[in-house]
Amino acid sequence: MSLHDLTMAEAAARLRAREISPVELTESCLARIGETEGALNAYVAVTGEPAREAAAAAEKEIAGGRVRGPMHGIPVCVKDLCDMAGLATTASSKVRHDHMADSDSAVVTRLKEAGAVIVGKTHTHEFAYGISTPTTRNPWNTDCIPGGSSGGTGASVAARGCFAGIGTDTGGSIRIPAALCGLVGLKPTYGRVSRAGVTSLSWSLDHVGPLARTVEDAANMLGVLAGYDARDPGSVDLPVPDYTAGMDDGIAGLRLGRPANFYFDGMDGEARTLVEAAFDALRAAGAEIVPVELPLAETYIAVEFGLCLPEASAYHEKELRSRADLYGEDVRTFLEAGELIPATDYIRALRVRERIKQGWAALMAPGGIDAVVAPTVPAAAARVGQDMFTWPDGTEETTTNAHVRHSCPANVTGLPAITVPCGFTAAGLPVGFQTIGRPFAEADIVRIARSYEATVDWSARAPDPG
Amino acid sequence: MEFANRPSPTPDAIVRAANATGLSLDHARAETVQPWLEIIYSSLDSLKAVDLGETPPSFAFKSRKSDRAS
Repeated sequence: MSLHDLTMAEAAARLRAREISPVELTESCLARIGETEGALNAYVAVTGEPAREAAAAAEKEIAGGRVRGPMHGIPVCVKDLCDMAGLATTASSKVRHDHMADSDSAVVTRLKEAGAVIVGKTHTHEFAYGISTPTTRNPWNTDCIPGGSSGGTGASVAARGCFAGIGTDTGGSIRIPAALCGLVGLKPTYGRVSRAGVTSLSWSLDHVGPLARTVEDAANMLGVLAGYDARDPGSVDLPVPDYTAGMDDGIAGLRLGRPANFYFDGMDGEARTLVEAAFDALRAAGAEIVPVELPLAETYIAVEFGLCLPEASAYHEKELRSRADLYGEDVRTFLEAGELIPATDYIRALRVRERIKQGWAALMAPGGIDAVVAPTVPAAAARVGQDMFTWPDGTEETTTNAHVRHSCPANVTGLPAITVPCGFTAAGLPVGFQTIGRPFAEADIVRIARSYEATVDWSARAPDPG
Repeated sequence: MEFANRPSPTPDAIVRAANATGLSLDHARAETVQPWLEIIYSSLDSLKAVDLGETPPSFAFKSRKSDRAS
């Protein structure tokens, strides 16, 4: 086993015990990136020298007896929507060829303060506006997409290029690549993690959070990232708990909602079987699985796109008028279409959103369910260039719609959601299920995910992308 | 009150609407945008079926104490 095969928690324990050094850990990851990058193309930029300098500084501090926390000396990657001073924030777009960040985003600042070692900036679907990340390949099968938009982070963390990474999630962009790459992805409650210095796709739907190989690692990283920031108008001033403190308390007596509508309407049979097995495991762990009817489910996709399209077009208004030819065809088309959505439609979507949130709050009110459990993705990773899924009943759905459909309830409501791997298809591709909890109840959904994770060994599997 | 759904946008209508926002679209671009905009308008029209009464817009998620985890 190489050092990069350790989990973050295992590596942190060995760092604290001074059995290994951050420099060794970082060199192991950089070497692994060198081995896999030709097949994956996960990175916009590998920051080898700054990473080595950060690792050397961490080594010195830890040797001096100062351990900052669970990410001190841990190599991580950052999605290239997040500003890092002195580097371009390309958003994987030619539009940003001349963009240079002059300061760190809030999440990069927090990672640096925690002593993490940033090994590079990872590819995103252009401006996070898509679910495939066409620059990058899935480490479990390089003929397949890694998912998106945080596809570079998903591919690199899964391939052991680093221990965890930053993603953003506007319509599933943390959870989709996490599920398709066999990882844990945690989209926190809206307002829990600052978006200051992060390129926006849709202000009212954007979230920032971790992708990692285990629930514990994702929980530890959320603890580093979370906290109030006055620079982000959506930020909420609440104390940040230790998200790992109760993660092994079990789920006996919890009431978990299994949607009777919406999620299972269009889904691959093999992926569905794996998710059903996860429900069995949760039931065996002591949870009560309760059928629930999700409120206003027929409106979720319309509200998601009714908010995202005009907000994205507002963000890109200037560039769309000055350098439209530099956008990729899909993103340009969505941006142009978003210009033509009347304000009345946008306001209606905001009003329906309020009704949806009220409905979900009622579901999880005292005496109701503690969380909703549902598939994260409708199928394992699509092949590169595949635009459509065909479901068992013969109906077809675009890959974009199918993925966003499964993810968007947690974006529209702002509720926290965590995806955890729940098995592999016969073709060796991972899928996951997600748990959506009450506002700021990240510790609860961590506990549910951890309880399931303890019954399986999916996180021990490693891809070999060559 | 019943709302009528909007008609399918023609490329010419898309060019005019884009121009009204200050976005210059030629006919070829409008033809590319048209099928997507038709899907989007159809989806947005479906929201008109929700009886919203006096429901105000929800501009962003705001936590209430009663919503929070115990």
